Amino acid sequence: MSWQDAKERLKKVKEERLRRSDEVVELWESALSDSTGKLGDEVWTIYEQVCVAALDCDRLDIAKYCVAKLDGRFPSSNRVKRLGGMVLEAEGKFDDATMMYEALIKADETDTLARKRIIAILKAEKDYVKAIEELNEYLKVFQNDQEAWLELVELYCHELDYHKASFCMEEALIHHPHNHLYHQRYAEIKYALGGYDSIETARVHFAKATQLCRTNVDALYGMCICASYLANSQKSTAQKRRDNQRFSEWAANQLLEKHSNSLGVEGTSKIKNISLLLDNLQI
Amino acid sequence: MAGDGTDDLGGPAYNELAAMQNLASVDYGRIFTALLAGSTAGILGLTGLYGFLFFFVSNGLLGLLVLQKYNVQYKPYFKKLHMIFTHGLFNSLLTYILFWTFLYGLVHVY
Amino acid sequence: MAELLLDPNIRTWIFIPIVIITFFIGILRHYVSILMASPKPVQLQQVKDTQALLRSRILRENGKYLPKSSFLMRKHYFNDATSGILKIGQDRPAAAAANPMQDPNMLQDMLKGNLVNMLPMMAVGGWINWMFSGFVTTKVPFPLTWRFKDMLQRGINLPSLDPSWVSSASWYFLNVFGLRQIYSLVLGADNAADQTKFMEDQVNVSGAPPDPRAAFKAEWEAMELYEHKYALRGIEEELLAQFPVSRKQKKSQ
Repeated sequence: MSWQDAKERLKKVKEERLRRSDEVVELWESALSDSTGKLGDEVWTIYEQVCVAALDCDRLDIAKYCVAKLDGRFPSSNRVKRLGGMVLEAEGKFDDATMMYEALIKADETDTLARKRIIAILKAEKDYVKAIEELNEYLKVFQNDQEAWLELVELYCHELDYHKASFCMEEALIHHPHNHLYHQRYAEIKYALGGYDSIETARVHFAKATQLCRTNVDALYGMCICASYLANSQKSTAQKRRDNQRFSEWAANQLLEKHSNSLGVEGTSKIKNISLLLDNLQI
Repeated sequence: MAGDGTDDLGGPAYNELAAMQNLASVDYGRIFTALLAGSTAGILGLTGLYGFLFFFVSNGLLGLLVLQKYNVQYKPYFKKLHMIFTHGLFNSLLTYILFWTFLYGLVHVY
Repeated sequence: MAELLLDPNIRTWIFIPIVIITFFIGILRHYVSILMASPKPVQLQQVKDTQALLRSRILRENGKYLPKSSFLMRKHYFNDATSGILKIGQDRPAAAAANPMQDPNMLQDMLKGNLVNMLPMMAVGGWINWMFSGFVTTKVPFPLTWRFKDMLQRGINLPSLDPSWVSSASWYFLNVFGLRQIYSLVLGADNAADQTKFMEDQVNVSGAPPDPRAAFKAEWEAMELYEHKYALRGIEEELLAQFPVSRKQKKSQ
């Protein structure tokens, strides 16, 4: 591959935010590392991109080389210092890295990326409680940071604190109410929380996810399971029992339809099995 | 153009970014319309009221072409129908007048 | 309305050059302002305020997708009489130095803005007026009232001349306004050559620091008035109605 093609490919990976670190490193080694002179001013963003990819692939030699080049060109840049911090992280020198990030934050209070790196270090050290604490502090200021809310959801789920995780998921949801995956995740957390009301909410959001994306099979299963649970539950009124039974039947039928559509004629035996399984889920 | 959210009970869920981008695209087209229509009006020698009428006609035509592109199903792409016709109208009026005067001057005055 | 015959030299040496001059000065302004732009250090409190306001707005917009209890929890966070952050933001004592004369940074920015935008316009306008005065430049294609005559025909003392015939200075100003949109084509949106944005900033600068309090108040009121109507009520029924099960795929197979 020529260096021009490699450059274009790197640009595409960056724009679409793909995590293809091994591809990036390979492109660097095969095509770009010898042609840095021809890249002009774009070479600096490429160094940054390759550095992060190299850290992801445990290629510290390449990462350090990139940081050295960037440091030579931009000696007092916070951005380059942050990359240096990431190299320290990769080497396992968490304390040094944390000190460096704290210095960066002191220099610029609004530096979001340095704060996130500190939280990432806490996560790497498996200190989830402290990570949650720091992330909460971060979110008190930067209340609209989507990535941060989603990260907090993961941390809370890890700590099995589904109540707080659902709060965080709601934050993500109000920013992107038309994202069916967010609805689905929220519903799953509510389902994990358990209890009549939560499962009812879960069913509603599974339904919304299905409505937004007709091919979301997980949401259909979720809806089916929630509805059958609610139909079976002691707390349901007669009307609710009937409604939930209809919902779960509908969901089951939709599932069968989708499976038979994709399996075709040969899959009739599989369809029968799925049908039996769905039967077991219901009253 | 970007499509956005689907309908539900409370009214459509709008992807704000997509809606704004769509309007920006229409604005972009409107600038070109002003440019070309203004030049045409100048070359044709339209004056006074006819010139302004031509402006509104050309914008109307732009709006209709945009609608036709989606077979009159504007709902997935624009919040309100009238926005296709009126968004950024005044700004493009000034551009229209400029090019109208410019071409009129070049062709009819000299 | 007399039809004047104008010297073609006017066209070649004034009419078209003014367009070209205006266009390139605009582009020059854009690049100069990029070079002169100084990065403004943002305060953490400012960031916190902006973020809080934004979150409150988004909550109002899309809160209908949340269960009522979740929404109320957040409303309480924002609007509670003692601890709501919007309430606290409103009651905060006025921020220091709203006066541009006292705040060196703001003063600097204002001067730079003026230098880049107003100064060239005045300077070039004046130069054109001085150099190309005393004759008629072009005719605007639409009729104007006699009151415009004074403004648009500076330097031409012909009482009987139709106001549609304008001087070069007015042609220059017409260009300035008309080419604004073209800049967004050539330079991409959000360019510094567009003066109207700059003029809006002038109006806002004096109001900026007290603004958070007014913004908080506005947001607080909006949140108080907002009624939570759960958008997902009955969604399963809607789904079932939208996609009825086809007979041949009945589960009882």
